[in-house]
Amino acid sequence: MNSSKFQVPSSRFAKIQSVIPAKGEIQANRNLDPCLREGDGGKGLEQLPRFLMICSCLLITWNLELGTRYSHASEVFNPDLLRIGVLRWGHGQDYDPYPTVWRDWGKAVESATSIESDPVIKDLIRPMPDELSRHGLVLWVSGPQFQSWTSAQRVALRNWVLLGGGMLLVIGSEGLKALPDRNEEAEHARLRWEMEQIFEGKRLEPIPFNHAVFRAFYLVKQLGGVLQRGRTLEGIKIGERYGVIYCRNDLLGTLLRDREGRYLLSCYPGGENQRKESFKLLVNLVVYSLTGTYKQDAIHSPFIEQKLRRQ
Amino acid sequence: MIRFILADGILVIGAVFSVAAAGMILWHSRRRLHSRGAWWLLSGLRLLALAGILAALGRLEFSWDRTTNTIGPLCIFVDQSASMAPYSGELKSALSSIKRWASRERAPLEWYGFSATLEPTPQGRELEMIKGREETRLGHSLGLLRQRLGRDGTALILTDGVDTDDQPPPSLGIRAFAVLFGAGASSELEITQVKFPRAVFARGEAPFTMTLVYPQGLRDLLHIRIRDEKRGELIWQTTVTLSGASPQTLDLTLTVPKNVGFKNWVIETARPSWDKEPANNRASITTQILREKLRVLYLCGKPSFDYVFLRELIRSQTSRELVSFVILRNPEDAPPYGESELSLIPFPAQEIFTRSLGEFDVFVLQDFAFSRFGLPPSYLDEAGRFVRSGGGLVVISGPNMRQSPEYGPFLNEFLSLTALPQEPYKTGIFMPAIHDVSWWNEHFGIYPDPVKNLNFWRDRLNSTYAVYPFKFLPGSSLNSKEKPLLVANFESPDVESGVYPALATAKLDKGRVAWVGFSGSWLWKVRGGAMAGGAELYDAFWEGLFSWVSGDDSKEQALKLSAERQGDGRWRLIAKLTPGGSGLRECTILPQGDKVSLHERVAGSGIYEGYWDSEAQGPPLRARISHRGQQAEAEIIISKGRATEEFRAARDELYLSSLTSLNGGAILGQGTEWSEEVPQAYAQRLLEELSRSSASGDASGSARRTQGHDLTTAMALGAAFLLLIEWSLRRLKGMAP
Repeated sequence: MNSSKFQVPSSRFAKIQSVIPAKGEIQANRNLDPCLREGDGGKGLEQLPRFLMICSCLLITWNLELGTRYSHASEVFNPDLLRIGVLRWGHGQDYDPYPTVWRDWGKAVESATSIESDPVIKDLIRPMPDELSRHGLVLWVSGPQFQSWTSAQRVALRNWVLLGGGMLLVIGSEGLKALPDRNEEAEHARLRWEMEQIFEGKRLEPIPFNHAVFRAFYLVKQLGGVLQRGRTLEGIKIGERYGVIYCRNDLLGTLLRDREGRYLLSCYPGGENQRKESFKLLVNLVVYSLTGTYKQDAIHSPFIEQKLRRQ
Repeated sequence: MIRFILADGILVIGAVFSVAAAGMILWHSRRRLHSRGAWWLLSGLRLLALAGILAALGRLEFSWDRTTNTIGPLCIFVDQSASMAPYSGELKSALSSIKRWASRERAPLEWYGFSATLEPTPQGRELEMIKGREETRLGHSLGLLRQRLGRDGTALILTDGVDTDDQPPPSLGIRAFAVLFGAGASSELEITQVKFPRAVFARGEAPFTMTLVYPQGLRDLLHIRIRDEKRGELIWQTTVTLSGASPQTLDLTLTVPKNVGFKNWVIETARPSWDKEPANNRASITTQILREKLRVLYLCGKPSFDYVFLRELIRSQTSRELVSFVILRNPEDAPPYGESELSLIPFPAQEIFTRSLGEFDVFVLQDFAFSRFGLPPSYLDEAGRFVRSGGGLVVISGPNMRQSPEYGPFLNEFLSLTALPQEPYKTGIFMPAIHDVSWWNEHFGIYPDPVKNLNFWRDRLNSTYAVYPFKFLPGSSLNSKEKPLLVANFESPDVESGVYPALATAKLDKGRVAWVGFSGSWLWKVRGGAMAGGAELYDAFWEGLFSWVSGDDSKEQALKLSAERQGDGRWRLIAKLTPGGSGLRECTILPQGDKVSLHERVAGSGIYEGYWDSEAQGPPLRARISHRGQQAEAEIIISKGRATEEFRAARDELYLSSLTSLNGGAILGQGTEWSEEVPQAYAQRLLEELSRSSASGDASGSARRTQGHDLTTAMALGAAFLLLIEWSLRRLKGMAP
């Protein structure tokens, strides 16, 4: 399938239904991460009677808990390697719309940098203290279905960022399903409100392009993503670092490929250059979470400025 | 007695012109005058007139009395205060020498005693007996002398010290010279005073002054050094020039070393060949070295949560300055985009390891493989030198380091650690065992109660770690000052070789080195934060380790000790301890080993007092004070008061030096130098001054000056009269020309 078919946003969602990753691919991915086994629960829910649906939900939740516990007990977690916590919310797989992109992201980081990532790069977690306490970087992939966190979850996230020094990365997603009545602005406003609730009035602020996030490894000059909904990153500063970074654009979707390795979602309006910037930013976000304000140190500035001037 | 005074060059010029004129007169007259008698007469008159003019120009002096002395009287001014009593023998000898010299030189002497006031003494013999007065008011007495003389004069003051009344030395119009008695300070080299700042900044500059007393007029080079006696290390040294103006205050500047804490140092001079007593060539200095900023260099082999969390912690204190380098790309990494898309900078390894390392206080080396980047293993030797020179090194293990063979000798030598490359690194949940409980409690103290503190740590240390297998073999280290210490280790049933070191420390010369054998401490902080149970574990561990490795934990105490012999034979010990502390201190006198209890004089003052009842004849030499496990040791200053006497002597000498120089004189050495004979140099100086005063100021000089002026006038008039006769003869007799 040629990714050029999806250059017009209005027709994109209808066609994209047919390129949902094959079951075998998801299965392969599941081998990497035991936490993915709850993924089956999302399919065909609409056909079930209401009581069966409720029972299924309860069963899925129970299975998830068991699975999570089991996975925690058996997995060999190495704190020296990169593993990203991914927040679960709502039902189904809305919190992880592209389950196959994680290894690509990990490979992109590993091949370019000295960072070593865990074979189990993704760890699905709920925003609860005991699950957050194993991660330094947690990703919250937002979507149209997201409603809100509970107050206990908000407190846990707040404590983890403010006291624990963790970094929360909030990334928007276009998803694979067509939602004609989707109000992205309302979603964005709800997400901002949620983050302000979590961090008790701290507001998101635009992150300038000369910040260390945009220079952590690559020199990122513009914000990538599937669609360019936002022009720059936003963040909440905790001390000198950004404890929360919010990207409206769907960065992860730019990594999504089919079986043959072709990109599934085309980027609009910047095309492949926009994908490239997205790729670079994804690597930078990981490097930033592991180096902090390193690239703001005085020793780097002259080199970087000189390089930028040459361009 | 007839003599010329060559007051100025006019005489010389006049003489030259006169000789020329006389030659012309003789030549001219011989040609013109035919009568031989007239020639002789006129020539004689002209030459006589010329001689008269010459004598007038040369201020010819004339005296009929050959026995009259031409130098003024010398006023001998003897200190009659009680403090001179110990030096009565010296004084008697000095006075006899002065009398002999005065008789030989026909210098008249006038005798005065002084204490509270001036006491004229006709013969001077009674001055040899000290009256034992309380005061020594020199300035006042010299003022009275000036009034009594009613003229200029020269005074030689013999004293051991004076009451200055905090007044500057007066200018009296009398030339004043002084001979010093007592203290013996200026008969040899002695450090009389050192003013050193109580606190100085590490690596900064500390200006201080030092006052030296040595023989007047002596010029020499002197080597001065500051040593830390306890550590046996040289702190600073310099060479100064003795200008000859003793006492000399030197303005010096010390470059402060980087090791912080209270310091007991000794400042001393090298013993010159002319010095008699080396014991007074040293003084103690107590100061506190403060750190302005802790400079940290952090080199990390790869980005990791351990790096970013520790980086944040280091940067969280404004008192720390961080320079860090993280290897973002290994040689085998291949980013899909070109170099122009990357923000990477070259790692300045050579600059850091060969030039800049010494500028830092702490070097954190985390999971960095030198061989992977083709860097020479000798850079690790630089790290070793950095530690030996007083730096702090924290080595954090990791997979890169484990695979780097260059670390083998380094870790073995400094920390008794041996890598176990055959064993894979372990990850999982471990419970580190605290091996050295006292060290742990001392440096990682969250709670003051040691049991509670230990239990707290044991509860929280159970966590996920990546452990890198090393073996700790105590005693194999050759270079450590003290044996390396295994503070904590990992014990796990699946570990074949027993235990893996988690934290090991060692002291190496002036510096310290710590080894952290695991990754994952960042999880302590994340867990503490997420659980809202406080993240103090992480901060306490790393702050404690930084504090230890940088030497900021130094609990050394500054100690100053003095001892004074009491009337009942006991020694009264006074100790000044910084920082102080309430209660009783036990002091051990060395080398005797006797114990003395010291009580604090005033609560919180840090000044303690006690008595040592010793049968030994000698004074106590050193003492050691213990308090809460810390020990301070210092040399005892015997203040019988040697120290106070020395200070007083130096102060009085300074006053007398100012007084004499202000009144056209100088200090003419010590009384002991005058016991046999008046020293030649001083005698010469006195004669010159007396002659000058006689020529310009004193009574007989004044009379002679009047006589001299009259003679000059008479000579001038006589010359004019002779020329008039000569002219009249020529007119009357018609002699030409």
